[in-house]
Amino acid sequence: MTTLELLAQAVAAGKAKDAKALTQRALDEAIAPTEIVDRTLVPAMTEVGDKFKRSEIFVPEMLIAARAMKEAMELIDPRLAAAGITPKYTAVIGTVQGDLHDIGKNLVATMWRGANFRVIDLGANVPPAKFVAAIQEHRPHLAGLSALLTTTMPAMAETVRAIRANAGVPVKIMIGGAPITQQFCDEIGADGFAPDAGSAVDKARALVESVP
Amino acid sequence: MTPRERIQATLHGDPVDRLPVDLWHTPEIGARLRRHLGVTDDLAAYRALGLDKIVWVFPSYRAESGAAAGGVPGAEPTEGRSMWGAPLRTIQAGEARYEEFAGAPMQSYDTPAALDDYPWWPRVERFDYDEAARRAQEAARDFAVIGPWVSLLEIYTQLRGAEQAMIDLIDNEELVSAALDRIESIQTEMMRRYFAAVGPALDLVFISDDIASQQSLLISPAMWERHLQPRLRRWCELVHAHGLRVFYHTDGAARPLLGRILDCGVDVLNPIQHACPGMDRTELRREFGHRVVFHGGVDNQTVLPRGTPADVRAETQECLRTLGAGRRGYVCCSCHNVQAGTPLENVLAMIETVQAS
Repeated sequence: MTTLELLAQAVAAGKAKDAKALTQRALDEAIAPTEIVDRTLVPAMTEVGDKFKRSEIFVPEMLIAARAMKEAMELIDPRLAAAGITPKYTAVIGTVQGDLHDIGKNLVATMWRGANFRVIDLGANVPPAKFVAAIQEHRPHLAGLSALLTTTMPAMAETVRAIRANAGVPVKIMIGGAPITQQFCDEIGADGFAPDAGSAVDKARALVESVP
Repeated sequence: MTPRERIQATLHGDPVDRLPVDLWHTPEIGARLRRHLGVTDDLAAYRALGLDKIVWVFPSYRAESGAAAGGVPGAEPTEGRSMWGAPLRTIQAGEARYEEFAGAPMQSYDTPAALDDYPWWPRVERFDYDEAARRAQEAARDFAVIGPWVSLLEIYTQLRGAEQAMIDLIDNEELVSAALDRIESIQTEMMRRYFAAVGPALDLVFISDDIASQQSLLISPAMWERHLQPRLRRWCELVHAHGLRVFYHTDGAARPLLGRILDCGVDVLNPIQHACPGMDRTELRREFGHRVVFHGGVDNQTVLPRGTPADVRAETQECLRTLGAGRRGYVCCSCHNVQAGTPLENVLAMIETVQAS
């Protein structure tokens, strides 16, 4: 097997030390950093997301795969930065005001990073104005809003309204969380909904790529 | 039949005059119901509503400082730490006020040996068994009684933080096992003392262990079998040895493990989140209805908080038709705590629909 094939395997299996060593070996073999990311790490994480969607793996396996990719990216990021290469897409993400439940949001942020999005994680309990300010600052292609509680779903609607009215950036808004449905997404005028962190990558790609 | 008789008949598989109806609610909904009914305490509210309430009697815990520990399910939010040492934070979300863990107190305790140094292991003598016994005896005059609340993975997750707990299941199985040994044995001893104090007022024990998300299991069946199944089986045996029934709670899409969970000795399964994949009410009733009582069912993510009373009546009737087929083996209830902001007429529509059935 080639170094990149071994690296893809190591990431999918969540073997962080191997992933780091194999990334170093790939760089030593003069493989371009963008090729490592686009042709190996991102497809490996896409496969992880697909297995998660199919319930072949669960949250622990997904988290350690993401950790392995992070180890690899720590070697690659300085090279990309030196070459002036940044991810094509940027996203901001947070749980809406009043909601401290963030494991779903963290999984989505992790999987978006795995798809090579630049992700600015605003954390939990984020007021609408903070979403708006972050969108104005980072000019992302995508904003992700998460809620676990039915009692914080109105805050999600309020955040969508605030972003549309005040951000002044044509950002796509994705929502998710246990009680969230496509119907609620349509009601509050968000652009997309995904039921799990694997599907959230597909939906995010579809939304950002739909912009000409 | 009295509410207690109706629940006990359901647990024993005996005929009932009608299916029972329970209600889980947040403190805000409790306060609104009391105001609406013109009563001052929860038991009076349950009587006024004609509810077949299974009353929660969870013993309170006093820390060494004398302060009551927070984070007891169903209690009003407090500041401070949970009985397991997790710092708590109270947060306002619209009309709702709730407690959430503000940190993982066992984050830096990475080895089984380090667990000896963890300063917040609950001490079984600090639970207030006598006060729990008084509450249980008062409730048992009319109602079935459930307690205490015990848990395994939920406690481990509270101690280590959700993501670290998940990673530990792969990276640090020795720690998971060692911590779960303590989590189990502390609560086993607490249960023994509680059973002795509360006596015949008690009907059920609440074992809560969320192992599923809205879409799938959180952890693999192999991990559940290794770490949780033997412990759940031991607790079910302990509960049965005291002549009590096991009430088991997991949210979410738990279908792939339900058979194995029931095999451990679970008598009542809650909350039947039928909106989740694999949790179809008719299928669950067909597959498991001969060996478990279902509790819950009425959708609390869409229908109760956001539907009309007519929607609630239709949803409740569908639960009665499916989970309660043959008018047995089902306690109708909101599928988890009715949240602040839910229209009171929706709560009443659920109760009245069951009572009129």
